[in-house]
Amino acid sequence: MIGSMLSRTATAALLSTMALGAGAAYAETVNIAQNFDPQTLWPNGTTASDNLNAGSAIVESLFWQNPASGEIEPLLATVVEMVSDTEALLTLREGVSFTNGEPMNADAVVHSIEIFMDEEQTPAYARVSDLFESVEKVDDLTVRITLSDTFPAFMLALSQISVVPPSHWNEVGLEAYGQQPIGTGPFVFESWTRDDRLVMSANADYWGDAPDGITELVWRPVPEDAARLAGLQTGEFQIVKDLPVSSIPTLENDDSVSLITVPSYRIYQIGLASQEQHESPLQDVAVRQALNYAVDSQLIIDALFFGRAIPLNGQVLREPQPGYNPDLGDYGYDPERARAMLAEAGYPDGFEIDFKCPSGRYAQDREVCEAVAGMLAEVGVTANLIMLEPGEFLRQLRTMELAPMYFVGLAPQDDPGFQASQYLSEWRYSPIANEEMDELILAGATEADPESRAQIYRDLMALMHEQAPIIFLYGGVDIYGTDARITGLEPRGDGRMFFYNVELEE
Amino acid sequence: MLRYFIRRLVLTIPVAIGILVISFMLTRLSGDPTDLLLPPDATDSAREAFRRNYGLDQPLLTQFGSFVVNAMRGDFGDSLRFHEPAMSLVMDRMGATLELAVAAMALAILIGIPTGVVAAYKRNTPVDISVRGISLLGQAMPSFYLGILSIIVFSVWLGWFPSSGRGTWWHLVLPAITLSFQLVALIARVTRSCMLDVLGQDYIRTARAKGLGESRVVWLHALRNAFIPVLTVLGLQVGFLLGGVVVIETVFSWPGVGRLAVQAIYARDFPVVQAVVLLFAMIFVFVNLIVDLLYAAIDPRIRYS
Amino acid sequence: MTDTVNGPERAVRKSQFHLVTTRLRRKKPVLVCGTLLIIAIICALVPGMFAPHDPYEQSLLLRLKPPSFMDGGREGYFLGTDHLGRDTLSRIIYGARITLLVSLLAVAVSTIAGIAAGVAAGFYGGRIDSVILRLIDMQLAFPVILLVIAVVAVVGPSLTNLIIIMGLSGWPRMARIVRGAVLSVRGLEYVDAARAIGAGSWRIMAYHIMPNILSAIIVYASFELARMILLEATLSFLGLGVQPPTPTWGGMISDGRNYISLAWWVAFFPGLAIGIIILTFNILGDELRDALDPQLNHE
Repeated sequence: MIGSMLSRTATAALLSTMALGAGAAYAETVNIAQNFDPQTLWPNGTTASDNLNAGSAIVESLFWQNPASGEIEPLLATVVEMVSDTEALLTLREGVSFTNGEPMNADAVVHSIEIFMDEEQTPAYARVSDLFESVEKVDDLTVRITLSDTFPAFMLALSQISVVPPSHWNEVGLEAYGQQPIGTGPFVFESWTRDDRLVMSANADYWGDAPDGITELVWRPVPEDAARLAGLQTGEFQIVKDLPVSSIPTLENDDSVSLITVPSYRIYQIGLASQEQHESPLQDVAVRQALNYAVDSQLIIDALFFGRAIPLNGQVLREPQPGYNPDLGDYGYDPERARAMLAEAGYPDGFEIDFKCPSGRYAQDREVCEAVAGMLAEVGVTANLIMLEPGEFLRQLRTMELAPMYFVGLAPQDDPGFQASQYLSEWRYSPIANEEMDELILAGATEADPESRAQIYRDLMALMHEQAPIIFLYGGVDIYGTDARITGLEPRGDGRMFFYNVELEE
Repeated sequence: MLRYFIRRLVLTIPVAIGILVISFMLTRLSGDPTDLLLPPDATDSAREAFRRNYGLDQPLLTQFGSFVVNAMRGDFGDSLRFHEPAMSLVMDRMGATLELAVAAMALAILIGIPTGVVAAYKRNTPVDISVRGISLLGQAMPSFYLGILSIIVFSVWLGWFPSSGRGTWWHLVLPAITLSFQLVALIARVTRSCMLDVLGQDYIRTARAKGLGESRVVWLHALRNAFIPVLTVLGLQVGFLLGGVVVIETVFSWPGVGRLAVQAIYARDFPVVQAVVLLFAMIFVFVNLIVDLLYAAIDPRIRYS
Repeated sequence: MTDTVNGPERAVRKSQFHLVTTRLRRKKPVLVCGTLLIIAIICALVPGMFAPHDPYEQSLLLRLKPPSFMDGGREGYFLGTDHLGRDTLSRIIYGARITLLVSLLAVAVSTIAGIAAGVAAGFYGGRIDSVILRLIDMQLAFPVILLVIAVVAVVGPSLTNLIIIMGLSGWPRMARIVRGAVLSVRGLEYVDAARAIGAGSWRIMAYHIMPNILSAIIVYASFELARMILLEATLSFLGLGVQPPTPTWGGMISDGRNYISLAWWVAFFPGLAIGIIILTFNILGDELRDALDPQLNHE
């Protein structure tokens, strides 16, 4: 690939023979460019997708949420049987072993779940493992999990428990395991030169269907957007994650690469803090609604994201999620109405307000904030943009110093319960304190029956739409580019890539 | 000579201590790494567990005390992101950064000095004017823009060089040239103006009068004397180079210390930031000490006491 | 050059000023650069007079339109529009103000700090000198860009913060130059003479030392102006420069870099502006140095 590109120019003839030689040996290598080098390859070490993508090619979990079907499907466990609302029996897959020879059995799974439940070792997953009470071995392939309360997102939690070989783990410890993991997955750790390349080879004894035609994966951290795009165009990378939005028109016309745009789970919104302690015009619900009319979110989607971002339809749950309310729609762009509502609320000349925005945390974040500020200016609201470095932004999000108005993209665990709980009065970065909303959120968190749970969230979405604690902007889009010979890659909306059905054609 | 050297070495100690103190204060002021390393919706008790694990819950003074004690032994603590000793993370990447910096420095010397000499000798001719023009232009471009343009032109359009990463010599070409661009220009300029000074001196006239060949006069006698200020600038530019790698390594995905440092600052990975700052500072100090010592080697009139 | 205390010294200085200006005026590059600089300064002072559009007015429907002289260009947008549909030309004109202001004030900060430290070190010598020298060493050794990133990340990239931090990053070199210059004039006869007739330290510094090191300071400052513009651009690349929607040339390049293959003009024209202004500062600095250099007087 590199060879054919280079030989286009006569001057590079010498170069190309060299590269061709190398090219032949790497014919079945897939080079993957991500933004960051993983910190750890143990999937339960962090929740950052760049870490998880690499780690979960080696270390597998009990279940996985298949992006193709949207369902949670078996992986190392085959069946989960709910004995009661708080007790589950897990049946494990037979005949699987770790690449160091240890068997994948009830002992390994109990060990792994115990780690998952320990917030000292897995602080990033403490919210998901909160309701796990205990775990015990029933027989070699059966494990019993006891919960402290009804847990509607139990399956989601199971899909995130990665299974590690207990003897090896106890021998090397958590840190060393993350640097050189051993798992059951389709790939085996080979070598890792930090910030440069992480190499994995195909697992010859993989228990499932190994990815076709791929003998080696090389993960490359490439922080600059333009460089990731360039590497895709030159054929240096076969899979590139997080391409800049501006690459869409370029790649649409390039036959040698495929452009994959994935609706992201991340919901972009402008927080309008209205609690008592945050004094501002936003405490008036009419003002918050007016701002929703003032912002043309469809235009932002069309112009800044080339139409690939997702309209929210005036709620924070997405179409296939339980609780998505089909009766709701976008506020719609109506500056006249916005101005009238502001006047009625006592702000005929608009008002001035601080508007905080991260710079470089999300795709197009600066552009979106500038666009929103421009639209608000049209209805007389002067939004003073304050850009924050991402680290400072996250600090201010935790302490809610971002109030009264801020741009944020929230992507909690993919369950309506986790989405909704971010708007609970007592939650540290909730923009609103509304008793009615609180009741619905708390009811949904422990409702076991799926249909009544969905109804609770539909009601919540309707109430939230009317209360407008945020300006509903758009659902994000993740942009991937691959070599056209790669098929079957279906990244998930949380930035996760799996290799279960991926093929590299000759 | 030896005494001078030792005195200079002793004088670096307060500098090193000052840098440690400043970098400690800066990093602690900059916020809490917990916010960046755990998801925003992490529970409070998980946050506490994380902070406890890394000693972030200790009072600042206690943290500073143990930091100083450990730093004395060369232990900067473990990276909060990679859970490895910070200094060894930095040293692992030092090779890549040195490769880049040395290549850029070599380009600057090999291209900058001869062009400067030629420009001075041919003063106010078209040669001089074009050298000055190009070298001024080289200093007039932000290096990240130059880097991105060169990726687009030389990798994507022409396909001559790889677009990113480290590996073969070909990978080194674009980042090294981009990094050296401003330096070449600067060295050419400084060499030119020093040469102009020297060429007007009496001893050059004497050398010419003695009937020495013109090229010998220029390249041997004049350049030798013009070299000291050039050397001084080179020494000071080590700081510039180490700063430049921060941007160039990011643009070209070069696995070096500069990129590590930027990401560590953004992630509030305190131990790594401190290790990088101290290491860069010490390199700067020692290179300039060596430059001082080289003066004496080049010009026997210089004596240190 | 100057060997008496009062009247004659001033006369010499005045004629030297005259000499320098005539020498400068004779050079073509100086005239060209001077004109460019004056244009930039006028743009910075009264951008509204030249800018065809409001630099903040955006229209997402008109985004990434090519310059009006190209195919698909739009009337009235001479250099095209950026990713938010703002007029590139108007933003460059308004950008001159912030770009020049930031670099000018940052250089002012570093010059004042550098002069204060350098004069104190050179004039008093002894312990003060060695403390200041250590501080200079410390600051020189501290990687500037890391220092600036770290501080800006902490205090936030407001205009004032940026100016102060960028300025402080440049003081040690200025201090070194000033200290060297002070040392070289301190021992001269006229300073001794001034002291002999009872002039105080401040008076000696202000009337006898400063005028003689001024040329070194001016030349160095002109190069620093160029460096500060590049530093602001680099900070913008790292997301820490002057923040949107305020236009700066560095910020415009940085914003436009993702659109290079889609809309090259977004980053190119501000890049051109930066190139020209830096060239201008550097050439003027060069010429100024030549003109001020007494060694060249004999030519």
